[in-house]
Amino acid sequence: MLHARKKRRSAFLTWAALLAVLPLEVTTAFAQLRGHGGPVRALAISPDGQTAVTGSFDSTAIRWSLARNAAEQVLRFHADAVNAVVLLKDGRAATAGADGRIAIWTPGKAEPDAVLEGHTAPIAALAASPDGATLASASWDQTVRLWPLAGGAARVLEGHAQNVNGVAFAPDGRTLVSVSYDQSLRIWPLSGSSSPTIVAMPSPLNAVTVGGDGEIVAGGADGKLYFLSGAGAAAGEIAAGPKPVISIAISPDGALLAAAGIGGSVAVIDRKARALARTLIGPGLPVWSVAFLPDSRTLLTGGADNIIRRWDAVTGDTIDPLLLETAGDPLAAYAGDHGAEVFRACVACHTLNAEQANKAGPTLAGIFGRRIATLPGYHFSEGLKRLDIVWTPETVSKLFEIGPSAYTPGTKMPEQRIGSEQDRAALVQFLERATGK
Amino acid sequence: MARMKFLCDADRCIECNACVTACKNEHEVPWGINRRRVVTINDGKPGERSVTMACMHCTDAPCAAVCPVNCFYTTADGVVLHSKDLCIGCGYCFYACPFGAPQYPKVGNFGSRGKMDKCTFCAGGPEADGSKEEYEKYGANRLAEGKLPLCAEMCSTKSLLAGDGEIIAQIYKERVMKRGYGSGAWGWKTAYRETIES
Repeated sequence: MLHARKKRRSAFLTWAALLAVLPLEVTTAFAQLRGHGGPVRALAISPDGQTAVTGSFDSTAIRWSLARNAAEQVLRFHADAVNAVVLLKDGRAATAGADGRIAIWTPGKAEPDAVLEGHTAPIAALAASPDGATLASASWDQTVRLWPLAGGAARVLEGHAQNVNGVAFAPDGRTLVSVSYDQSLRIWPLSGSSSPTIVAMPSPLNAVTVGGDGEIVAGGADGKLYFLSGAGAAAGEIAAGPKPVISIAISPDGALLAAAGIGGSVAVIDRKARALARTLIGPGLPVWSVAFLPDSRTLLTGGADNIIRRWDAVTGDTIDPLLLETAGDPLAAYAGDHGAEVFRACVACHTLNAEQANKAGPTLAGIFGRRIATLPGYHFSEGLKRLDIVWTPETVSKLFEIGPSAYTPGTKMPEQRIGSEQDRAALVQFLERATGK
Repeated sequence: MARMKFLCDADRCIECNACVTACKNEHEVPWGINRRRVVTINDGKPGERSVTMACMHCTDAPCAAVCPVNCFYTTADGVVLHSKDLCIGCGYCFYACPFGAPQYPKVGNFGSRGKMDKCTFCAGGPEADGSKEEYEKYGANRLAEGKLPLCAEMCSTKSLLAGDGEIIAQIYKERVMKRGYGSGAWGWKTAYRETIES
């Protein structure tokens, strides 16, 4: 029986096969909050509802004017995906990424005011203290860090035994809540030297938020939302859906709770009744981030289709109906092409023709014959601009033979090597066919 | 074709970590990566239980739904594998996995860019069965040799079972009938969307 086993690819229809191909430059019209070149992992909205900041797999954050439905500034600093964003009380924004760094941004400035370094693994979440003096970060290095925004050393909170995925301050600023994949929730007192309260949870956790009344809500891998008092006592639970929950938001008036998950839907919960009010159904792709506007009714979601969608959380209607459209598989036209299969590792970051714009990486349209780091409109790493490489079939093949970090030092490209000479040849031949149009 | 599954009988696990050690040794899993780990719940308190955790090779695997490069695939016997040639180490599958299975080796200053590594049910990867390339990327392919995962083979109390899902479910049912109690086949419902009726 086992000897007869055959490996075969199942018909997993992943969101990768549906990635919309979207513009990155701010000069393009953004009436529908399109602009990221990768999944929108983080979302924050200013208290006046005029501004949103989003973070994406494409390694950028974008500051949006919600009044004009337009991108105001693309924030480029991180060397990897931007996983978390938060707006500070003084109007600045903080972004944190898989590069383990936090950047603080003043609106309009091209470079961050400050960079906070210390985490040794990706940062998954950020929170700002109610008084605006402290930033908290949760990281896959299993720590939480408290950063005084006025300067000074970070306080490191150790104890979690797995990736820490969520962090939130209590409304009185006296405690900080963190959640981890170690199936625990910790309530850290921020003054004195007492130990944190450790609450064992039934599921690995991805997200946490705290309501204005101090109630804690956490969600994770089992698709449930867990309610706890500010002291950590259990106060109910509700299933948001069958798939893991990734992001949670409480409406400013405290009435609604939104839980987004990998199943592609957003559960809107009546918080007082502990009841599922409605489920917002998008195109079925994972929803990575969710946030309410100050009206407590309009909900923004960021998803794997790179788009920020607007919803009426009370009626369940989408405010931008056209946004339910999705693009097809960018490699559908190349079915059966071995080179296209090798290229599938690249589709999250690169497009193939000039009509499709840059994503996390530059478009590959017309790549052969082009000098490295010269494509107009893409923000290349400084290290690449100093290299003397012209992209030819031979140099592209060499890139994947020895790996990007060795062949193009300073690149932000993930380390990809193709050991098989035949596979490299197939990839190059595919690129010659697909990028010259 | 059998549907391969893991079953963890939490009433039998003695936290010996033989499964963890066997896995690391069999596949030469690098430092810092544990494809399998033993977790103790309610440590030192009434109701203490230990469970061995790894990729459960889920039905309708949630990791596959979030992968931006479509690197996951399911074998004919239900084992969820991935291609390290396609994986870009983005980490998204970690948020989706109910068992914390995906691991990311540190290849640079940060851990985000290494290719994801996880339990293969001792079934290797996309390369030719038993090839050197397959072993270097994914470890041993015991299934291709007609053997079951070594972690379960090594389990001295047979808390961890691996094999045809129908057969191991039947074994668990008989155990519960005989001993008169069972705290559940840990993770079974989450992974396979079904319960084992006693």
